[in-house]
Amino acid sequence: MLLLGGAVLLNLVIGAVRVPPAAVLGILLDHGGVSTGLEFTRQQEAVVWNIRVPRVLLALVVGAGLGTAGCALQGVFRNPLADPGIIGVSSGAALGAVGLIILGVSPLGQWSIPAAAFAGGLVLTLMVYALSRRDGRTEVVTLVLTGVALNAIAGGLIGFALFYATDAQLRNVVFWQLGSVGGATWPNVRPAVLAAVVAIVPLMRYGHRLNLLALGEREAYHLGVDTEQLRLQVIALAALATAAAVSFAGVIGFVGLVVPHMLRLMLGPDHRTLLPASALLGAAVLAMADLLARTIVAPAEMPLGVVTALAGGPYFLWLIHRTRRAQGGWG
Amino acid sequence: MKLEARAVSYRVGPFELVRRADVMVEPGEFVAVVGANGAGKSTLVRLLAGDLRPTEGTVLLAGKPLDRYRAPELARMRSVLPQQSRIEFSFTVRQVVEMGRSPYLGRGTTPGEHEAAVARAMAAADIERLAGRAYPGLSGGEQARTCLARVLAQDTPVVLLDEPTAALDIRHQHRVLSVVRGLAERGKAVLAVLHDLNLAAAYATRVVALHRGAVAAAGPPAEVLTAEVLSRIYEHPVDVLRVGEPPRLVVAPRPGAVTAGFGPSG
Repeated sequence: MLLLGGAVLLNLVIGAVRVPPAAVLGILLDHGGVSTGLEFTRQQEAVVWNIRVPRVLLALVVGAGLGTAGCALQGVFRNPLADPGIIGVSSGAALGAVGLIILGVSPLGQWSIPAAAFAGGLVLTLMVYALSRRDGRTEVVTLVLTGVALNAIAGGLIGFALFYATDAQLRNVVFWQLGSVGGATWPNVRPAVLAAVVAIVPLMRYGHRLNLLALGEREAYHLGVDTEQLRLQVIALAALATAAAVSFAGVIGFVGLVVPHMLRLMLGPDHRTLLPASALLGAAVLAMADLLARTIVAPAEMPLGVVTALAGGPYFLWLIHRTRRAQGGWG
Repeated sequence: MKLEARAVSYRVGPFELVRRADVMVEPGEFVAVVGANGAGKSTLVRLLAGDLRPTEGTVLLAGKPLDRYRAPELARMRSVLPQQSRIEFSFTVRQVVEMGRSPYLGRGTTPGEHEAAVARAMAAADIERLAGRAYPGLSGGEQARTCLARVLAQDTPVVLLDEPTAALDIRHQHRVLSVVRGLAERGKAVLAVLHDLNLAAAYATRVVALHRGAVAAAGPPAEVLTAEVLSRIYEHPVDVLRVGEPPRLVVAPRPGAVTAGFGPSG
């Protein structure tokens, strides 16, 4: 919580235009309908309210969405190494966005790419689920393997599309795939927040059932969990949260994988605390990462995906080695 | 509450794992299921638990077919101990046992009652000492006792156990089966797969012997655990002795002849 508050404040204060914390507070309260004596200029107000606030809001919901989705999917797959990509949502979204960029059409104006990404993410997830279902049942291993297969196919199609892309399109695709919350404006932050909240809030209620599922598929059923329904609902909500994040911010790696992991090491395996904590820490981590992304090479901007991957990759490596040391190997 | 399998069969491709089996467990009974590897014991437990749907026949719980119950309802009527449980996340022993109470959460049971049920279950399985330890770090026997405590905490009228004693030392085998027999004497309907025939002879009120998926014999231990039946279903010569006063059954398989010529040749 403290980290989250700090991250938000720093994001609002730091930037090309200097705005002191007191002025930030004044601007926020002013927009909340409360007049204060705190002084700020019109330029400061424009920068904070129209640029920094939407941007940090988008970073927060994207981070919260990815963190919660990652935590929920690790629970539902009973595997601490699952991440939102495993069910195909990220590559589906990428395929949708890249396809649209290469075709060069934008039927929905500024909404075209988010809409295509969102639809692509949900469609591919649905296909993974439908293809691994038999006699009304899905098995986790089949689900994961189907995800691997469809991710590969989506990757191939993206490559195929890139083969025909012009240089300008390639540049667009690359930036989209590296992820950024720099495009945040009030009109596109609102639907992102809405979609993420619609997915994140109900996910919080699955903590107890995910704990039972950790005992084993059969054991959870013996304790009264309808495991098939649980899996379907959690996957659908996690896909929604991820699709909302990816379609407005592009592909941002490792937050969904690493955040729940860090929390499991700190707080233990209880999903009732892990899910909300993953939302909070995910939001804080992404807000901090965005702060880095837009300040380390200022006035230019580092893609957000580069920051999270460069920080997340080494952490993941360390995690692998730690796990091996602790368990004497995998399996 | 009575659990009854009527002429159930279970087929996977060309293999018939359970063949037209009739098995019944009534309140107050401790039914031991015995049989060779692959005789269909675990499949039978899974059919009785509702994990698998019989290809033919029906399983009735309290007179109603199993597939007409919803999972939460079933969880308050029967508990199940599967053969082994792997848990990926480091829940503590106490957390695992507390999960056994989840079918009753939000149904008017007070926290004190939950607490008492968990404490009783942990005492019965002799794991109080382990309460704060992480489940994945326990030995096989300790894990088995933790899972058993989870099942005991669920406190259902029907209890199904798949090899509750397989990983346990002698003291804990007897301790656990005394607890299980006690459940039956308090009016629960208990069915357990047991590999150790001497334990089945000592604790069960009835024995069901499976042979290649079908019920080969069923009845009181003294009638089923005979040299003739056991030699047939295990396809190996077995003697049954009566020892001590009052006499108890002791099952003694005959040693096989030493097999010559197995190993590196030349």
